[in-house]
Amino acid sequence: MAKKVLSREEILHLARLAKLTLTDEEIGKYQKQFSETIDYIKNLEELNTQNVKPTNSVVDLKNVTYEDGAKSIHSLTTKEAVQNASQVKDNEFVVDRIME
Amino acid sequence: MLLGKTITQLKKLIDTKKISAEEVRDYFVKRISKYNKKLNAYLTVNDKKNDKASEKLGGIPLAVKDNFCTKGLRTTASSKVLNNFVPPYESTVTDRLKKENAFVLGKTNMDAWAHGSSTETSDYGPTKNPWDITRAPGGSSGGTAVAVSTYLAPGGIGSETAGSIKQPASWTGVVGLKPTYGRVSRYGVIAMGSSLDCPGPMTLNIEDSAYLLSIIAGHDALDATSSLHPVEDYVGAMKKKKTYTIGISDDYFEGVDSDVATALEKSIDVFRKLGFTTKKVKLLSPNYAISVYTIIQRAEVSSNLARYDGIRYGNNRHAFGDEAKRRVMLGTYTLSYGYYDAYYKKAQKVRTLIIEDFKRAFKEVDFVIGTPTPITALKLGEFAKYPFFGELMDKFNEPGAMSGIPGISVPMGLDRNGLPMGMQLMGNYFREADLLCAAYQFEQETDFFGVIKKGIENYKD
Repeated sequence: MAKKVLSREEILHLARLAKLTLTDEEIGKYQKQFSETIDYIKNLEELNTQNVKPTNSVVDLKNVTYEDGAKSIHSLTTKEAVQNASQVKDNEFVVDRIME
Repeated sequence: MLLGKTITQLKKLIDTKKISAEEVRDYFVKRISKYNKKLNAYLTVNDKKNDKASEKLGGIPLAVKDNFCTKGLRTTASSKVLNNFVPPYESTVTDRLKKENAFVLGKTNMDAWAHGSSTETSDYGPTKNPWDITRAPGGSSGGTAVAVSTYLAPGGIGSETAGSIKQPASWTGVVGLKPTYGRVSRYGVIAMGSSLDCPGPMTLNIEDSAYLLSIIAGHDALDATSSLHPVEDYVGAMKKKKTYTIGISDDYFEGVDSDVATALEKSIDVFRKLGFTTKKVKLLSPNYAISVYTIIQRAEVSSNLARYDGIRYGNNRHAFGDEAKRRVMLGTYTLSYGYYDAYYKKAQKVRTLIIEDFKRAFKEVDFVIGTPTPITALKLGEFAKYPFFGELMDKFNEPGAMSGIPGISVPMGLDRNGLPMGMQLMGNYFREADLLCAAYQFEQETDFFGVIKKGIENYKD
């Protein structure tokens, strides 16, 4: 069976979804490498999973909730929250304008 | 003479006031300044000058992988995205260690974001294998492995998603323990694959491994996936003379280098001599786990790395390296509309099959024996030639990763090139005490064939 190759447009679409900027060289490289990977992971088709439930987590997860009025033990102060930001104004994060 | 003293031994010397904590700390800082330039194990050393992090100078200095947030001490996950990131909070693992008077001696190099099996994808240059500096130390916890094997720390902390503790432990000749998923809190660990990541100790012997695990294990209100399963007295349990049944699966010997295979046979004989029994078991081929891991881990990576927008912290997404970009892109693809069922959901279903497979096997045997890595340390640059190679190299770790079971890697000798080889035991969920007990008996019987001592002797004071 022929290997599946993602088109240049498909790679660029994924990059847009992931907010990544790619060079032409990277686009070509990912086309080739993804083709190899997608070819390998096809081996899962050999296994019958028709009546198998998917596993999201290996632990017996239950909703974890706090009691009303419980004290937060891990909130940051405003100063701590903004200490690593590249652009801060009046203790607030500066972001790009989203509406004209 | 402090060279080669274990955590347990150093603790005793400090407790009985034979030596001060400051002297111990200065001793390791001196060794780091002598050897780190050559090995590149540490990215940040916590010398007195930038010691804003610890409130008091604890007794035991530890090497901590740079994906554990340490309050006031730079944490990069070896990515330029987080080049200047100083966490405003402490990870639960380092918090618990500090409460027991441990001291974060430094933050160690790793594959950027823990993406890799060689520590070569670090944005700060590769860490060198101390047995042959033209070779890789394995990864992603390569910095901690090298710091411990060359005694630039008496012990350390790594994290494993699929092999990232056991494989570098194997390539550098130290003890690496990957606990059950949920046994140790992930709070404050820079997330890679959230349904897989496990912090764990890397040490010079089994007792230190048991000791560190007893400190870091246990439920944490700050990690909803941490387990309520009771924490055992691992050091006490380790010393019990129990015998076990060891499972041998042919699939875990497939493609293994001849020296490694011979050493494994020898290790199995050691266990037989100790009174253990062995039994053949049939397990699902690890080749399926490679695919399940590739799909699920990339998906979780693409989601976890979405938070790096350069607004709240760190640099923007232009700073991502090649491997991070590749993983984010592939994860975005397998999660995208039209492909979700074929890849992600299929992988989650096969994940169930892998779990059931181990559960069935562990009804017959206590452990499954193997090696964390089919070959010994590769030359630097080899991994980059084959992008999918790392996953193939980690194929004996991926089934355990996907099912969340614990495993331990210990040295079992040197190969024809004088490079360390590792033996791994995988056990059922929360059987860390039994894994440590079996590994301790192996240590008592073989002294790990002198590997750990020899590794340290190569790096004199």
